[in-house]
Amino acid sequence: MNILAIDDDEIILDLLVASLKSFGFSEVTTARSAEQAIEIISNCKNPFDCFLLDIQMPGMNGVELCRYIRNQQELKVTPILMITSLSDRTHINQAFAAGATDYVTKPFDALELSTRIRLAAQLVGEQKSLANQTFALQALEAQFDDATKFDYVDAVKIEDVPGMIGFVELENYLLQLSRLNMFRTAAFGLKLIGFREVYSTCSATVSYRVLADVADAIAANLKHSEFILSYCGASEFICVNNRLNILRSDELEHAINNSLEEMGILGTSSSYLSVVVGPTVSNSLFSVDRPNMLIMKALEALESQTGNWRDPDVNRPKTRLAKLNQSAN
Amino acid sequence: MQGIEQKPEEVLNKALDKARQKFLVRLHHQVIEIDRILDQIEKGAPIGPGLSEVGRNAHKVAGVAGTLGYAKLGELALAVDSECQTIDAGNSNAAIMIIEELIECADAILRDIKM
Repeated sequence: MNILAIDDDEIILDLLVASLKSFGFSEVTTARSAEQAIEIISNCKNPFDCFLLDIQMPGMNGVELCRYIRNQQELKVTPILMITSLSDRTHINQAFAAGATDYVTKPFDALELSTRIRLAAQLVGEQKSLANQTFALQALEAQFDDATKFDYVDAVKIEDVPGMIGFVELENYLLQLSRLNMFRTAAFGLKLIGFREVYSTCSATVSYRVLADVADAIAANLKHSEFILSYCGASEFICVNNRLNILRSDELEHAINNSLEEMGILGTSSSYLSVVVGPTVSNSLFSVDRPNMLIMKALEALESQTGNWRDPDVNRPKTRLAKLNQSAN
Repeated sequence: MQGIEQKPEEVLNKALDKARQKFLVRLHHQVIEIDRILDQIEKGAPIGPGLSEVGRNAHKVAGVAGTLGYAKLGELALAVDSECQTIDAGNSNAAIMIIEELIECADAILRDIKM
C-alpha cells in the first residue's frame, strides 16, 4: 500500500513512518507541507492508496488539502485519514465535509493507526463498486443506464454537494466523537416522498440526479448552520448538527420544498416529490448508547412521522438498521 | 555476509528512541521559549499574542508526547493548547497556572535525563 503522510512536524513524520513500517506498510512517502504534498501528488506516476493528513499546518491546512485531493478524479475514493491533536469539533466537521474518510487523534497509537488504515482501505474497496456505478452514471449517461442501476436501498454517495459525506464516513465521524461532543450533537432524518416512483420508472441517471438536486436543496437551506448530511438509501437522508442550533423541522421542510419547487423538481409529470423532515433527536450526557445509534434513533423518529408513506417493500430491519444494531452490540 | 534482519518491534523501538531524543531537545528549547514569553507578559507585554505563541508550542508537544511515553506532559500540553485558544485577556490566571504546571512537568522530565 502506497501511503502519503503529511505533517509539518518532523518528529510526527518519523513516528508515522516507523509505526507504519513496523506493521508492514513499507511504502510511505512524507511531505512537510500541503504545498509539497500537492507537488508530490502531481508528479507521481501511480496514485497513492492512502493519505494521512495533519489538520493544522502553516500555509494551506489539512482540510484544504483534503478538498484538493478529493477534487482529483483518480483520488475520489482513496482513504484520507486526518491525524490531529485537535479535539475541536469544527475542524473535524470541516475535514469530513471536505471528504475525509476517518480521523485519528494524536498522540496516536501505532496499532490503532494501522488498524484504521486497513479498515479504511477495506471500506473503500467495498464502496468502490458503488462509487464506480456513480461515476459511470455521470460519464455514460443513459447509454448503459440499466446495467449500472443502483439498488433502491443503496446508500449511494452523492458527490459535489457542500456538507455531504458518504454513509460510512458519517458512521466513522460519529464513532470518533467524544462523549461531550456526542452530547452536543443532534440528528434528524429527511425522507424524499415519491422517490421510489422516480427510481422505478426513470433511468438510474435521472434517479441519481434527483437525489443530488434534493441534497443540494437541503444543503442550501442548512447553510447558516454547521451540519453534515448523508444519503442513507431508500429515499432517506440524515443530517447531523449541533444541538444548540436545532432548527424547526416544519420551517425547514417548508423551505426545502420551496427550493425544490423553484428548481422545478417538485411535482414532475411522472410523480409528486416532496421532502418530509423528521424530529430532531439527541443523546443525553450519560447515554450508554454507541454514538452511531443516533442515526438509528433519527431514522426511527422519521419513520414514526412518515408512517403513511412507508415504502412497502423495504424491509429495513433486515438491512441498514440491522447492521447498525449489529455494530452497536 | 548477510545482514541481521531486525524484528518489526525492534525497528519501532529504535525509531521511538530516536524520536524521543529529538523531542527532548526540542522540549528543552520550547520550555525556554515559554518561560521567556511568561517573563515578557509579567513585564507588561500584551497577553493575547504571547499566549497564542505558548499555545502553538504546547500544540506541538501535545501531538507527540503521549506516543513517546510522556502521557502527563501530553495531557498538560493539550490543556494549555485549548486554554490558549479560548483565552479571555482579562482572565488569564487559569491559563498561566496551567502553563506553569506544564513547565514544571517538562523540567522534571529534562532533569531526569541530565541525571
